[in-house]
Amino acid sequence: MSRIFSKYSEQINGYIFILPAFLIISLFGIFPVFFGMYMSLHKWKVFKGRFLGFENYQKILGDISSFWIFILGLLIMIASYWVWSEYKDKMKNSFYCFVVSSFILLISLYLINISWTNMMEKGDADFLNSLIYIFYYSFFAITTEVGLGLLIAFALYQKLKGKQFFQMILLFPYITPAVMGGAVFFIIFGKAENSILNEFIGLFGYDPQLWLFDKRKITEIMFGIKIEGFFAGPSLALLTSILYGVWSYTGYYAIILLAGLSIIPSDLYEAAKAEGATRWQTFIKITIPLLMPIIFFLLLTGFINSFQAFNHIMVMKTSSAGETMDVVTIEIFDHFWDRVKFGYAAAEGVVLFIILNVLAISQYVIFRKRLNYD
Amino acid sequence: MFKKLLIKVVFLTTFLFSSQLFAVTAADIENANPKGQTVEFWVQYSDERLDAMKARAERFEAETGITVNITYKGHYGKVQSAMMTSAGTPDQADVARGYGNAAADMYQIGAAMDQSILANSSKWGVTQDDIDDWGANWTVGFSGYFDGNPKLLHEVGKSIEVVYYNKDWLNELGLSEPKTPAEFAEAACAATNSTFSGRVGDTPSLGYEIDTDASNFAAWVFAHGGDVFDYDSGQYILNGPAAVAAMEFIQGMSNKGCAQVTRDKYADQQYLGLGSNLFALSSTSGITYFQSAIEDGYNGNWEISAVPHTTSEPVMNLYGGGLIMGNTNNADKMVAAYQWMKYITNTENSAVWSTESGYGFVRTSSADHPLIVAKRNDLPQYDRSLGLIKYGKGEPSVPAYYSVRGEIEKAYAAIINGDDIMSTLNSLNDEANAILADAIEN
Repeated sequence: MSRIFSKYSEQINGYIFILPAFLIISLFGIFPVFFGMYMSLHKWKVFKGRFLGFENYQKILGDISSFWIFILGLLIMIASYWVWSEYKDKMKNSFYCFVVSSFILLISLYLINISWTNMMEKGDADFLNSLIYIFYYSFFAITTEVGLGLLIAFALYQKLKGKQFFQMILLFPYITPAVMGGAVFFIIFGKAENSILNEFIGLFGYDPQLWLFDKRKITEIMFGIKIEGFFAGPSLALLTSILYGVWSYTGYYAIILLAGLSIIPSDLYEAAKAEGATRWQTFIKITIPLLMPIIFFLLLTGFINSFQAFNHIMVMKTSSAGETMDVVTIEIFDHFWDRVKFGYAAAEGVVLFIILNVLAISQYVIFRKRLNYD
Repeated sequence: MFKKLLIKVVFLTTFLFSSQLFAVTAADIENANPKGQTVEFWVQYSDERLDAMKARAERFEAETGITVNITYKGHYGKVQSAMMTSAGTPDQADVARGYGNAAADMYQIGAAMDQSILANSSKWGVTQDDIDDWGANWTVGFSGYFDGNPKLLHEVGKSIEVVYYNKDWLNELGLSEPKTPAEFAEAACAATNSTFSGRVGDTPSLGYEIDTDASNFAAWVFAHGGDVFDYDSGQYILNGPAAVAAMEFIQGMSNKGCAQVTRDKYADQQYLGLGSNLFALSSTSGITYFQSAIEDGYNGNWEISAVPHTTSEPVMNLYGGGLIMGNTNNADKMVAAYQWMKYITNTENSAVWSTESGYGFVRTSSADHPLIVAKRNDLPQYDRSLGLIKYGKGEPSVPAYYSVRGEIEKAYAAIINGDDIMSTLNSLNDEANAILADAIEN
């Protein structure tokens, strides 16, 4: 026994050291996921009821096979990008590569379209729409936050007086509790003619808006075209909550990107300057490529995190906005807490979990070549 | 051999622990000792009402030796959620405030208990004289929706959805109190196109600011001679002729700019107080809040009235919120909780609570209480509200009505904002019936 111990002492020590972390992650990280899956297979209203199998999933998705086709479509879409990025430089004529990857992309879009239509016809339309709403939220919020954050970081990277003061100010929105910030936004974006924002835009001759009380799609408000479906875009109400997200997180991203900027070797900028590069060329050709690992990280984690946005949307949602602010977390909360349908809510959570995993894969494939400085 | 024995032991143990052998029996209730117990009471009351209830709990403790912990849990929905999600745990409250539909939801999952076992106790229960004194307020607590007609609710107060209005402004407009929806719409539009002489601030005038909750929706449907639920078929009828007529009336006012969805919570009350809104529809339980808002605002004459109706007599939305007992499976605590419930609904406390809160009293004998008589004289609106309770009609006391309320609120707001009435109500009705079916499915 002691011989075995002395032979494997190094490994045993290693396992002992990781044991607490393993137990904590298992208990609070992995177990809830599997327990959620277990709940999703039962009728569960506070107490566990009868075994349902995949009935909850059937109700949510209408047709489970359509969901897997949808997931397959997403994966094929990722594959199309992979084919293009992997072979465009390896093939003599990149046009053929373009045709092949375009063909794969068309197949993926076809699969996504038919499977989604099928799910919408037979499944829980409220839940499926909530996935679209959260996609709008994440897409518009994260791209704006990281984009604006990059510009702010670049501005702060210049020699400015009071730079540290601005850095501190940038973090204020991030540390403001979401419930409080959401309540303040609710007042600012009130629908009354004399609400703060309506008074403000009135100074520039614009009509008062309903903001959080307006369920009209942004395409209808901006361009006057009434379209249904995915390409209609978010409602003005949801867009307002996206603005909250932008307000809250942009400064945080700017600070991280500023830290990233500081590790870019200064001689690169000096060389570019000596070569006569403009400030814009320097930004595009040096700053962005070298910041790509950080941008990738922020986009990936930000996108996944914002899929779980909840607090401020809960505070800001209004009945006049209808279901257009019912993003997926609100939908799950509603089923879990208000309707006490624990099993059903757990099934919705599992569906979201699968989609988030696909998103993580897609972002990895898209950005994998930009993860290093090579 | 050993394996078989082990299986038998496991089976018997499981049977004993899961059977009703350990449920509280009538004999346990009779032999219970409530003294020294602590009753957890979860409420939706806040501010002065909460303080008043806490003061009552202190008096109760001094008299009986039973402690009552009163906890504010948020609005009714939050009280219900807290009770349901803590079901089967020691954290659940012994008594909670709620409506019949919440009680039904809780009872369905074992989070609430049938109070009959306590009411029928010769030692701790209620007398026939008490029951007669409660009258309809006693019988309304039974839920015929379930087998055995359990008593799930112990009525503690009554309130009713009424119209609050600025009497001075209506006089300035040369109009009298609206009796029909058409008269109401006429007054709302006249107010929107005028400015009240006593207005405080510069907020534009508005006839009617609508709090789009399900109770407001139901109030207008009732006033148009209809209902939102058909107990015969056990189905919602949110797209019935009365609901359509009510929504046509509301949307008509909205289209003319005379009514709009409320700007914020309690904005209807606030702007009525400032003299920029003519009408608000709200519960009589908020009578003191309206009184304060008006006194702090235009400080003039105001009145309450029945909801304008197309029926020969008013039909008004009556709220019969009551006390729901958590299923703690502890006879001593149950008896302690029931003594508290009886205490706060006795003749004296029912009267005092009514004057403190604005709720109507639940005991006939409370009507002659000096405090009630004094309040009737001091606040004519309160006096009038008590007279309107007889026109009351309740919202559905069926499982999952709380979830349906959320759907009604969205559909109601959509209609006011211009969505097609018929298709919106049809979708709402389908959704409501689907929620109900899902809730009662095993």
